[in-house]
Amino acid sequence: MKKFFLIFLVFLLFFNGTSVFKVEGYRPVYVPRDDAKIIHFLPPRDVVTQGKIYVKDNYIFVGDVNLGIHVIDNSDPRYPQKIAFIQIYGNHDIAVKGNTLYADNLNDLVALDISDIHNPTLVKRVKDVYKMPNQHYPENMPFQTYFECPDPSKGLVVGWIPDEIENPKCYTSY
Amino acid sequence: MKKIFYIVTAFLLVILLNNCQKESADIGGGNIGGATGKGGSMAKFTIANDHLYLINEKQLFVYDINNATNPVEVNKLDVDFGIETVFSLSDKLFIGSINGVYIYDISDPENILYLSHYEHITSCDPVVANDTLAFVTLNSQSACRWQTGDNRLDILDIKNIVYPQLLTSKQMENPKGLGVDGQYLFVCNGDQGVKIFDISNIYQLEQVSGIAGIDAYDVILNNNILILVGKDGLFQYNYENIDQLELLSNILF
Repeated sequence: MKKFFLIFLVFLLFFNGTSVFKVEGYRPVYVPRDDAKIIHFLPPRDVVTQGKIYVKDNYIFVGDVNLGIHVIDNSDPRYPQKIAFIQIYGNHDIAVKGNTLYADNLNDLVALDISDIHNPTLVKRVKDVYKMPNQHYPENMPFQTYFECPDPSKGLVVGWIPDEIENPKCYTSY
Repeated sequence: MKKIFYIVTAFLLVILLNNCQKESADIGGGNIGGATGKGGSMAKFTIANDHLYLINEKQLFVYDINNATNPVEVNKLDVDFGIETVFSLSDKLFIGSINGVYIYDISDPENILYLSHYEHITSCDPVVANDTLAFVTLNSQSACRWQTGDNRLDILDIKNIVYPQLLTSKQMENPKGLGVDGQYLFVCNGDQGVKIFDISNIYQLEQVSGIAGIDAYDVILNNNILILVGKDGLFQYNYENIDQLELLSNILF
C-alpha cells in the first residue's frame, strides 16, 4: 500500500511538472471594439508600457504603448507633474505643431487641439493611413514564436506584449 | 604616404566642420519656426518645414500642415519593407529600416528626391545626424524579422550625402535610442544605461560620462537637459557639466 502511494506521489509530481508548459511568448492586448476609435481625455494614471517621448514647450508627452499618451507638465524640470492621460487605442507616435497634437489611433491619424491641455478636442481624423493591427498573429516575429491564440470575443487586438504564456497552441510559421 | 596624408586631412576637416557647425546642429529634427516640438530617435513621426512625415512599415506619407488642424496628404512613396524610424534635419530626411538607412531630400515635400542608401546587416536601427555625421544603432534583440548577433553603433560620413560612408563602428551591449548635441553623443544601451561619447575624434570614441542603473530606451536633448525614458520611468538630467550629470527629477512608472 505504502509502495502504491509512493508511486502515486511520484506520478503526481511528474504529471504536475509536465502538464503545464510555460514559455516566453506574446499575449494579445484587447480593447473594446465600440471604444477603439473614441478618444478619451482622462485624469493622470500609471504608465503600463512605456513608449516614445515627445517634448513641446513646457510639456512632455510619454506614450503608453497601444493605450495612449500621458501628459506631463514640465514647467519646472525639477518637479514634473503628470496632469492628464489621453486615451488613444493603438497609439505609438506623437508630434506637435503649435497647439495641434498628431497621433496614430489604430489605422487612423488624428489631430487634437491641445490649446487647453486639460480640455483637448479632436479636430481631424484621417482614415486608413495605416493598416489595422493583425488580428490573428504577431507580425515580424522570429519563426516559431509562441503566442496566445487570440479570442475575437474579447475585443479588438491592438497589439502584442511579451509575457509568459501557458500551454500555447499557437506559434508563428511561414 | 600620400594616402595617409589625405586621410589625416579629411579627418581634420571632419573635426573642423563638426566643431564649426556645432551651434547650428539641430538635434531634434524639424524645429524650424520654433512652433514644433522634439521627438526621440525611435519616432515614426517627424515635422519639418510645415509638413508632417509619417512612416508605416513600407511607406512614407507626407502631410501638409500649414493649416495645422487640417493635415492634407500631398505625397506618398514606397521606401522598403521593415522601415522603423524617421528623423529630419533641415531639408534631409533619414529613414532607418531593417536593411539600413535611406536618405531623402525634402526641400520640396511634394517632390521628394531619393539621395542615397547605406546598407548594413538586417537589424533595427534608429538614426540621428548632424551636418556631417550620421549615427545608427543596431540591436540584435529587437523584434525584427531576422535576428542577428550584432549590437553596435555605426558612424557614417554624410558630407557627401549621395555617398554615405561607414567611418567606424563600436560594439555596444544593447543599443537603442540615441541623440547628438554638439560634441556629445548619447546612446541608450538598454539595461546598461546611457553611454555618453565625445565625438570630436570618432576614431577614438571616448566615453566621457554615463548613467548606470537605468534600463534606457530613448533620449531627447533639450536645452542642456537630457530627457530619458526607460522601462522604469522618465528621468531628467542637466548635462551642462558633462562629467557631473545632475539628476533633476524622475517620474517612476
